[in-house]
Amino acid sequence: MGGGNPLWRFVGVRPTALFFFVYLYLPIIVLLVLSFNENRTATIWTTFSTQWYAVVLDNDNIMRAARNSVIVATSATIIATILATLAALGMARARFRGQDAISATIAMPLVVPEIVTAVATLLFFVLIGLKLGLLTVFLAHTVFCIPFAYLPIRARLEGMDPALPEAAADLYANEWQAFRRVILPLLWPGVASGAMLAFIISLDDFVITYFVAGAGATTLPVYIFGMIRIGITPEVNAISALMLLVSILFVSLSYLVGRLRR
Amino acid sequence: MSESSGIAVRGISKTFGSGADRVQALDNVSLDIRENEFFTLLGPSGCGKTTLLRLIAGFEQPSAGDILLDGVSIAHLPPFQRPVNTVFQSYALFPHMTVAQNIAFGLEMQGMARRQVDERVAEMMTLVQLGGLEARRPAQLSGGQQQRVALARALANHPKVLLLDEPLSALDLKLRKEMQIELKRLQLESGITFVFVTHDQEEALTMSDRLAVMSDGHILQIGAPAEIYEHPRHRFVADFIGEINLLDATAAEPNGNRVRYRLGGSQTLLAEAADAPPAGRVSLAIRPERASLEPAGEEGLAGAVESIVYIGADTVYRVALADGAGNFIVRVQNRAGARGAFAIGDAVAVVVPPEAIQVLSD
Ligand SMILES: Nc1ncnc2c1ncn2[C@@H]1O[C@H](COP(=O)(O)OP(=O)(O)OP(=O)(O)O)[C@@H](O)[C@H]1O
Ligand SMILES: [Mg+2]
Repeated sequence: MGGGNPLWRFVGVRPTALFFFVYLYLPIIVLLVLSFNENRTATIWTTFSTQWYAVVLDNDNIMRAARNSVIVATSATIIATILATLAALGMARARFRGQDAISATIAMPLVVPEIVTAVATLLFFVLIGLKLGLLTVFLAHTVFCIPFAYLPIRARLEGMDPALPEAAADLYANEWQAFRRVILPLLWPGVASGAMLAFIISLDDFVITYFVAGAGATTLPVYIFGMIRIGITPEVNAISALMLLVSILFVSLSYLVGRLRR
Repeated sequence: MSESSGIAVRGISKTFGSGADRVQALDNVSLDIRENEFFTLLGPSGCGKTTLLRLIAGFEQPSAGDILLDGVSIAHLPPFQRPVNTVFQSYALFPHMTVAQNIAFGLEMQGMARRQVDERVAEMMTLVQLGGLEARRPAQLSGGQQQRVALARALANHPKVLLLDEPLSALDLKLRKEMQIELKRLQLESGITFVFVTHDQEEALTMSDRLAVMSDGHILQIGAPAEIYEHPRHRFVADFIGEINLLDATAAEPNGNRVRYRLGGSQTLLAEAADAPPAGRVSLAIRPERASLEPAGEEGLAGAVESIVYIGADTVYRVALADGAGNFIVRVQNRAGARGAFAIGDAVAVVVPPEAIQVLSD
């Protein structure tokens, strides 16, 4: 360290960086360590054990919540990614009036406070008389997943030579063939990267889900919140650790795929 | 060759944007490109060459006018239905496909059988001398090789017309010269009409059967290279192509089938009269190699040698004409070796044969 990046020459960069990483990751490390704690009281260390993981995997309620989470995340990801791809293609096609406004609208869910979206979505579902359940969770998740899927796809498209689709058309490919044979193969790392981001965002969501989930539609974050209200138990640590693992896996994959064939 | 074969561009205009951003890229352009011809669009940056090419390819729609191919309008066909192929300036090779897959793409899209596709690809690889590189990706090729793949990919379809937008501009000088010869060979062997875009006048002169000189959305002159070079009809064309002397003059008296032009003071030049010689203020355009230098006193433009530049085969004299008639460049072949007959400051006469003068109305 210190050779390449001139940043390291500044006084105080190292301690600041160190403090920053500790500040960010110490709580997570504590959680990880305690998830392997044998003691029933989650905050007092005795000896190493993996028993809480077994307890978690054996708990029907937790497994049901996990299954709900995966169902919602998978379906919301698929729909959001398709919509995001179409939007990105449309935006890349040509300059048209109102394009900037549409661009901002697509990214809007990233900046609107989640609690506002949650209340508004709940209100909307109640108004149109839609019964709260997995369907409403899926619908709400699709909406806030779109910008996360959209951004990597758009970035990928922007890096593409605009002459490529023209070359395909010049070589007798109709619009669909040009998309299938030229655009999609070049776009797919962006699509995959966007889909994985969307999946993680959906899996992780609490606020909106908490508002629009009905009785039978509890997802994992909502279930964990319920457990925490009774007290921090070793099971909570273990589930959280498992979710962290899945998140890291997907984010790394998303990053790696996004870099493919750049 | 029938009347209607080849490309006919009829009164094409193209504007981009609207309001303050409005750009008139082409203004009522008409031209005929014959079958099997190497036709070049030549002009400075921004004159509308690429726009004209993209209209023929179908990537842009004309604001007005029509484009005919062999007598049939193609102006409203999408690009994938036009029997026209393009070599892009950026090559636009598909980066996720091999060289062979790139070349096969157009044939597959037209539904050609696998065996024929393979045969045609092999044939093309030989034609552009890329044998052995079939399985490479574009990123693994040099610029010159990519250029050849782009050519092969377009030519494989046996198009009626091949459009090339500055295809050589990304290559270094040596490769550029090689590819010029190569392109000319491919055009002759394939018998395909080439429409070639360049802003390099030397390239245009050496390669084309005919060329169109464009400026600011207009075509100024169309003709064979020698015609454009010897008989430019506009000041812009004369100035853009090669080196030329442009002298301001006014028509004096007709003299048989010749006209005497007055340059300023007592300086006059006798020029061959066209059918309707331009009157009033004109420019006289004279190529430096068509004039000669004689000792002062001979019949010609009087002046003094201002500078002498020896450039191997020729020597270039710059003469300051008397009576403020301007400067005149004379290019003299070094037949007798490097020893020139004149030195700086010598009084001389610039002799211009009447048939070497092109009279241009301003
Ligand atoms: N898509 C577009 N939108 C707006 N203006 C355009 C567009 N394409 C071309 N133009 C304008 O039209 C004019 C002609 O452009 P064109 O690309 O045809 O020039 P060119 O002769 O090919 O120049 P160069 O030698 O630089 O390639 C230019 O003023 C250009 O800015
Ligand atoms: Mg151009």
